[in-house]
Amino acid sequence: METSEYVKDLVLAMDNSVNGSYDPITKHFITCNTKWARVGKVVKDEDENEYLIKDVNTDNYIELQALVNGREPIDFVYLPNPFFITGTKIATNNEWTMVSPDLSEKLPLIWLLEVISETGYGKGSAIEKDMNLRLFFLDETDPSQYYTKDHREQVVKPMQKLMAEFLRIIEQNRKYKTVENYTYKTFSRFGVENDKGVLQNVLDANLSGVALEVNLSRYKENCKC
Amino acid sequence: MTGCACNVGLSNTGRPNCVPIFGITSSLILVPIYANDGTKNGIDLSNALPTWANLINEADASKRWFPLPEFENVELPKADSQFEEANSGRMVFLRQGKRSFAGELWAEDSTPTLLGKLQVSRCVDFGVYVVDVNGNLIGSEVGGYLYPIPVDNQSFDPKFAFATDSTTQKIMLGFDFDRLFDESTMYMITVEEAGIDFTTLEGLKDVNLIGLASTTTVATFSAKLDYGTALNKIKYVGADQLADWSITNVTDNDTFAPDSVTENPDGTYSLNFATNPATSGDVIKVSVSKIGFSGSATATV
Repeated sequence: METSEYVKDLVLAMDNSVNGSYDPITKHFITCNTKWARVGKVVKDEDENEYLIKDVNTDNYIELQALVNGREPIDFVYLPNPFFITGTKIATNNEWTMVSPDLSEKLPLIWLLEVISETGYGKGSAIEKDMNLRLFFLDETDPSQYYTKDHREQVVKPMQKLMAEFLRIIEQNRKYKTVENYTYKTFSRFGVENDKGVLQNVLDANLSGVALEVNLSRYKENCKC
Repeated sequence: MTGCACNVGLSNTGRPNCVPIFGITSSLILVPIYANDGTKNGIDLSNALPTWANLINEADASKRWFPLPEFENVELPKADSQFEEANSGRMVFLRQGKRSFAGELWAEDSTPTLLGKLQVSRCVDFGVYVVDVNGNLIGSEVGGYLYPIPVDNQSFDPKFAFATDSTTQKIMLGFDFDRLFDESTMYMITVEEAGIDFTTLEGLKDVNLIGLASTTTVATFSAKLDYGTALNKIKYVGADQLADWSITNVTDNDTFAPDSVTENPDGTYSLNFATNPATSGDVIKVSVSKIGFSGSATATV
């Protein structure tokens, strides 16, 4: 398989469920892991009922407003699944823009940036290849309403949790060598700032998030024929 | 190690394409060599493969599988073979060196609680199925069965290591395989053949039923796992279905499911068994039946 397919499989394995209990008086869904929940997003319960997130107290509770009156979640709510894309800057911007005009259908975004550097191994190694990955975990932000502190609280923090879930999936998958370390950068605004201080978006949306650099080693599998 | 057979020359050494080979060792499944009924534990390869979850949840602990968590830094070195050397320089083979295992359980998989559970393994004659990173199961195929690879149980040595500035908390496990084990008998069952990735198997969790008290129709207790803090062990919550429990009237030798289960507050249970009432002086045994958990306690009515 090709590297982007491996990464896509990891993204698809990410668990978007949040386990907890609902307090109908405070409307708090109490949980010890709020994952990438953030204000303004819509979550669903096990019966596909929708709820708007009104507030998030990280790893304590998510305040919910039922979009159909009277509905209450029980044990689980489900966050929007991340949208995965791979490519260079220009190709990704074109392809991501064409997916849908509705940002909610393609956010949060996990973007595997090309070009991908790989190292293959021969007969003497149990490792198939090392993949030097650069990934972005991004979600929309509101530059007209948010101060820097808000960008970080409302977007960067949930995207760090999204990245943590991605790394947890790698950790659980024994086909990958244990990741010893990784580097990441958090940014309030995702774009390029020029000399005049004007920020130009890389993708056609106002985004914030985290950039992750990780070296992933995958073991060889059984032969098929 | 095998000896020399008479009238046999060298073995043919051709091989077909695509011979499955073992991947890096990821974890082990401990299995007693013999069950209490005297049968040898193994997978019968002539019949349909077993339901793997049943082996984990087997009520008879002498037939149960005990999967360990994922290991790091696994090494399986083999000591040098032993020879006697004559003054002339001629060598005579005496025996092969023993195979050892060394591996580390990291972070959440390295609690002193698990250490305690591992330490008692030394008291049982057991073997291991090796699970590789691809999820294949490796054992010893003899006579149509895939048996666990026998371990020299007295060499089984789990050691706890505290976290340092540069390392996480660990359990370092070392042991020797049985010195008479013939390594040429090792075969594997692949993920595709088994219909399961063996790395996904998880061992049973012990549940402690605390303060069990029983009237003639109701048993009450709290339930906690071994894990947690000294002050707050993790509560066993959510076992509120009838199938999650079984009750045995030990005096009458009668086992049945409760009529109702109430959990309030979390981890505190009340089991009603009015349709199978006990009488004063009967001994009642409450057992956990939920998949993935094990535990029981007795009380006198």
